[in-house]
Amino acid sequence: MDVLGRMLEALHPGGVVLDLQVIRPNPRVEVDGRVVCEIDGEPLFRWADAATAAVDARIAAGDLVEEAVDDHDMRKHYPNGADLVDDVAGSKRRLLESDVPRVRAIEGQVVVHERCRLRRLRLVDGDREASPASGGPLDRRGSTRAVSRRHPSSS
Amino acid sequence: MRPDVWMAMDAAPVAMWSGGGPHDDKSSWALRPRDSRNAEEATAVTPVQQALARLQRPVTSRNLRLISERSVNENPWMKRTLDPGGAHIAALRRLADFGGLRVLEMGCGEGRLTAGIAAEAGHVLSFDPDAESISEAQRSLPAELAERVVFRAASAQEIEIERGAFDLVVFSWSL
Repeated sequence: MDVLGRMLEALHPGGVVLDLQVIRPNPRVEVDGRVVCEIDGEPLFRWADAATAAVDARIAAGDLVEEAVDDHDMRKHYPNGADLVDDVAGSKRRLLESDVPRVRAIEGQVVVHERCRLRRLRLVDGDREASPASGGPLDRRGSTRAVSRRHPSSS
Repeated sequence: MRPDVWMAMDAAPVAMWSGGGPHDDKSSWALRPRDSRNAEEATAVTPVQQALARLQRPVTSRNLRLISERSVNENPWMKRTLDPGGAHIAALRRLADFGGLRVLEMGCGEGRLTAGIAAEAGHVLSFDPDAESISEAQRSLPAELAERVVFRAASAQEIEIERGAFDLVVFSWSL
């Protein structure tokens, strides 16, 4: 089933989509601000790439307009390295075999930094183009422009 | 515990870990003067031990238990915590004003973003296929937001959604 298509049906014309995805580069494992190693995020990136491609296809088809993109770092805290190793083992990420013993040996707090991208998209209203007042043309990377409180067509 | 009790405890000696590691026979807990805490903090070897050192509590079995529970609850670095700095909800708010909107949140998990969205939105329908996560999301939602949020344990294929009923859809690593 086309999940994106189903969710877009839930939106009224002119409604907003916020799509949060992980992006490259690989997540960094840090202890006390020092980088210990990276986590291979490729399996998850491929998953995210497919989701992004689905959105991009909707943009190409004229169903969605990308209005803003916000790239930011997100942290995940672990009480120790063993907990991180266990978490990664059950996820779509991988630690290099050579890194596992020294990560597992970390007894204090471990922080993983991950890069994420949030995209704001607008469902195109068939009767009119995206309103400049509610985002208008594409504004890239770190936009702080806000969507109007309520789209006129929803009132 | 009353704040004045905590303050009184602050005047007491500090619980410090002494030794090289959990398997070091010479390691032990000891009372130390508080001016030694920075050096001793550096030698604390586990998150709980580090928390005890930072919190500067006297060593009694009851206080150790209270301190440990309190520390784990109040210090996100003592347990696995995704995005304790709120980077995601901050990004959502940079790109959208949720004020009064009808929001559909797909893949809400344990409701990590739900409360932040519901604080501004008019109504939120949050769903996730994992029923346990939905239960946790319901438990963790502040009571004052409960009327604005409906949780459903369902997949994107299963959930019943009225066509055109929402102003905004959020996909959080879920598309």
